[in-house]
Amino acid sequence: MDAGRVIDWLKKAVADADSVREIRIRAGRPVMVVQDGRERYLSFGGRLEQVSRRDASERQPGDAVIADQVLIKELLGMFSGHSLYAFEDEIRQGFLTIEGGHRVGLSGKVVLEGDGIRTMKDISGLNIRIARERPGCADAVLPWIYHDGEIQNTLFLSPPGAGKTTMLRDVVRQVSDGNRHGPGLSVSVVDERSEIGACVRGVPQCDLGMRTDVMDGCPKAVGMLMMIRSMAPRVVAVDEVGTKADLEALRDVMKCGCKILATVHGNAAEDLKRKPVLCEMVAEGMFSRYVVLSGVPAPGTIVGIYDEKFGQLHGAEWGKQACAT
Amino acid sequence: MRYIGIALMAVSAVGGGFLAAKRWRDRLDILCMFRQMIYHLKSRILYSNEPLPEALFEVGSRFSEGKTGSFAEPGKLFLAVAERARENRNLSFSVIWKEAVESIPKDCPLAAADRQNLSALGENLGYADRGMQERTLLFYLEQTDDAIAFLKKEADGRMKLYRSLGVAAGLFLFVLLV
Repeated sequence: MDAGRVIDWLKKAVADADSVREIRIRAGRPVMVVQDGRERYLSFGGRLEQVSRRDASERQPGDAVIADQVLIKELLGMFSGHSLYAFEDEIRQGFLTIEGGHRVGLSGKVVLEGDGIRTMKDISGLNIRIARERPGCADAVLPWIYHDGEIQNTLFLSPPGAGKTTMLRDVVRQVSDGNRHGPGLSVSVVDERSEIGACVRGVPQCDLGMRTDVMDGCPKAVGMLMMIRSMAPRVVAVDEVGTKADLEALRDVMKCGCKILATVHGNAAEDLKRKPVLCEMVAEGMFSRYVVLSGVPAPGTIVGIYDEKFGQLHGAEWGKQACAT
Repeated sequence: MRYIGIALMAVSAVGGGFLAAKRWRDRLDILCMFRQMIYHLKSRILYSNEPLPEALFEVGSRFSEGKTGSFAEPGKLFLAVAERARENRNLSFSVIWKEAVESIPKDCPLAAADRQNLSALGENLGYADRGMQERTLLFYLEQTDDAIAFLKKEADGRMKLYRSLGVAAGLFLFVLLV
């Protein structure tokens, strides 16, 4: 299957690119597009079709565009700008971030080296997650994450694909530019996976505000320390914290008097006490605000906003279950 | 009028000899430039981990600045590949590179072997890991070093020969026609 043709069909099938959340390409299987919460397959000629029950039992509809490894290889070449070597470290982690901040998840055969992963070969599955900017999506959250005109250490919690990075991006923009709850502050973003700022040659493609500096592609723990030493930020923002090193770096950031905006994967507030590092963060009272998001009915839905003791500030009372720690 | 014509023919024969010698010198200089550019490219790939279009653009821009004529060709080649690789992502890199090498003007003083080595360089660039990029570039550098060594060794003798042949041809024409 020729990548150019598949891209042309995808362009034809998806008139409103903004509504696409994911494109899934698996060798030997139909190309699937997740759009407006619905998963459909790409058919020849460039149409999106619903998988019928009969199709599901036959495993693949007759008119579906079936991906193969040649297509996947060509797409990877395109995504990497003919330079897969430049993404070695990311491939080792199972994904690569392409221009525009879109994340391409990979699956295939892993080549081991000792206890670690050397690389991934025979890549047979891609999950292209479309990054999006939603200016103003954080408007409902902002009143709750400021207290007496001061931004609070805030942790955004949601399952994958529920909009926490999009939310963080907009919070960063509004905190940086200033808003009706507080003045503009210098913000340092440590963008390990280039998803927040979608930097191209170091320059963020997404609007992160006029007082924002971005450290692109840098491991969070190292980047946070570099930023507080070099850029004197008032706020540090990071995506997907969760390791011991992140915790140590966050402690250092707080010691310097900086505020933290961070996100973490989790289905529910209870996840905070199940994950050892997060549990430690909660026990230390590192965050004064917890914003729980859901992908239902739409990404970015605010389930609830809680204070450091998991007292309900906004939304459902559900967070209280997690404060038993 | 006849004597002017004869003198012009003699001068052009001498000039032809000097041009052949200059072409030899220029080929050597252009190969040296390619070698330098490949060292820069290697550093950009291995040290800065830049993707090919980015690395080629940076090196090409640096080496095309202030260069004219045949000496601008190496820089132009890198810039053309960088631009096409960015614009036509569904074309393979080896095809883009090969087409760009083929579009180097015929009057550029590169020998067929030089063009062939350049063309072969693009076949493996971008493929596999960083180690492979390094080996591909080193292989090209090895070939270029051999060509440069040969040109340098032969340079003095050949340049003298071309000039002398030009002068001799000019004198011969002059004597023959006068």
